[in-house]
Amino acid sequence: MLLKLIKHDMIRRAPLYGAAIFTIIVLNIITISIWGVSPSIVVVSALPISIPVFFMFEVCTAYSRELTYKNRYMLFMTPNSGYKIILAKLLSLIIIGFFLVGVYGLIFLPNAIYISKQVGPYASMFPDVFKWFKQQDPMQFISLAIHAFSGIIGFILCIFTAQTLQTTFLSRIRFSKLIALGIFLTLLYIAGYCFGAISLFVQDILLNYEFYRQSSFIQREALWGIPMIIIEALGSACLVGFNGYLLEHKINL
Amino acid sequence: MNCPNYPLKNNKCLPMTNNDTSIIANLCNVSKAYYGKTALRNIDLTLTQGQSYGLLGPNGSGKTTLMKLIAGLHRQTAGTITVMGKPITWRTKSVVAYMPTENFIYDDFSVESTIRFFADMYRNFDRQRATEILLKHDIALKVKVGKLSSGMSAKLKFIVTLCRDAELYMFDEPLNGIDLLARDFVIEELQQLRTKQKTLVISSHLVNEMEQVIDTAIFLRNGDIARQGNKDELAMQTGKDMTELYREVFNAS
Repeated sequence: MLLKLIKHDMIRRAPLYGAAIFTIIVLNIITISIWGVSPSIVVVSALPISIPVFFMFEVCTAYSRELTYKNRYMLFMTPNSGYKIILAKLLSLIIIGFFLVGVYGLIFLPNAIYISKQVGPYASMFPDVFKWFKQQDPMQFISLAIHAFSGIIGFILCIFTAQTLQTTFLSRIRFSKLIALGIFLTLLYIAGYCFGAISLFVQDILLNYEFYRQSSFIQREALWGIPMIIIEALGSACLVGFNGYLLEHKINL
Repeated sequence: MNCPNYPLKNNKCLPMTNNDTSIIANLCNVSKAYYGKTALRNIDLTLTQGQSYGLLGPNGSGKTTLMKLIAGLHRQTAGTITVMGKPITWRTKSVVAYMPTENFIYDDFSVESTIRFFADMYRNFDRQRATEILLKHDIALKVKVGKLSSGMSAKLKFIVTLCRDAELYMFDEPLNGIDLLARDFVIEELQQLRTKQKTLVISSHLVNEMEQVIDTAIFLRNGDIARQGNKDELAMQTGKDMTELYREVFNAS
């Protein structure tokens, strides 16, 4: 049933995403054909960047629409637990996120190749960037990607939590949207504070051990990063559980 | 308090322990308040198999709230509700088919996608029958729900609710926004459900039209059951039909 929920969520969003991606690609082609490659950096980065901006807008509004629009009953009348519904919403956003990263790459790379061939001053820029990347430790990027991924999930779940609270405890209160925004910002602050504090705590413990101080970056990353990823995953699981509980026991649609 | 199917302990309802399968839903001392405003007050109600109940009352009397509580879209502030002997959870949603008064179907779905959604979400949904009825009513499968006229949308939501093989059907204003011929169809289908021994709860302002499909009339006034009884018995006792009785009950308030 979880897969069916995700499937129908995707079917619902597909036309909107299709239209948005199509518009971005067309704008990209028009920009290059009108201005050529002179605003190269803008062309390479700004237009494709509209994809993550669009994704974030969807993250902020998609679940809220599901809870507050007239067709909110469609999903919540189905025999699915609140836990399953919130998990399906999260997973479909993650899948869409990965899909959009792919689309971003597909727009970014041809732009980069085209501009590097056309523009003299920038011609060496991309090979230089690739050279720099090659010199770095790949573990650094993997670690960064994992933490960024869990950070985005945490961010999405903070938005979900505020919106779920708006439809449960705050459902009949005036200015519930404003209060929900306040809750979201507070949650974000608490999550950031907890992450920072736990991170320092874990590092302080590890620094007491000689083998940690003498270990390589990869080893350090494994020793510090893995517990942190587990903590982040536990935090996300708690938020999913909290949202699921509210949807299951306190809902007022 | 009159809860024949609930044992009481310390003036609180305990879950039903008998195995009377003729009882489809039971509400014991149920209240619903929205931060200062009471929508339902100490409602005791037993819905039995094969019976058809008409919820009658002016706007704001608590009809929709009562249905949403049984459908699991709201949570009661006090009291106990069971469906098929079990407290309301996501599981009870599989035996309750509720049609809200709003056009709750996703606007961005096509009619075909809507059918697919219902078939995926409800095991008891008869996809073939739904398709046949829709085509009979000239509702094209490829058209977007958002593009349908209000009458067509009303028919669509009625048909998808009807094509589930549920134990309890609840229709909130099923005759709203539909033409005379479609009204005949709705009335006929409701009659069919009665012959199949299904339990029906119907709310409507069109009292005289609903009279032919209900067995029991429940008059709700400001969240209280003002009057309740078998339609024929009430008519015999008072010498009045439903419309006259409605006027009597609500004009007096």
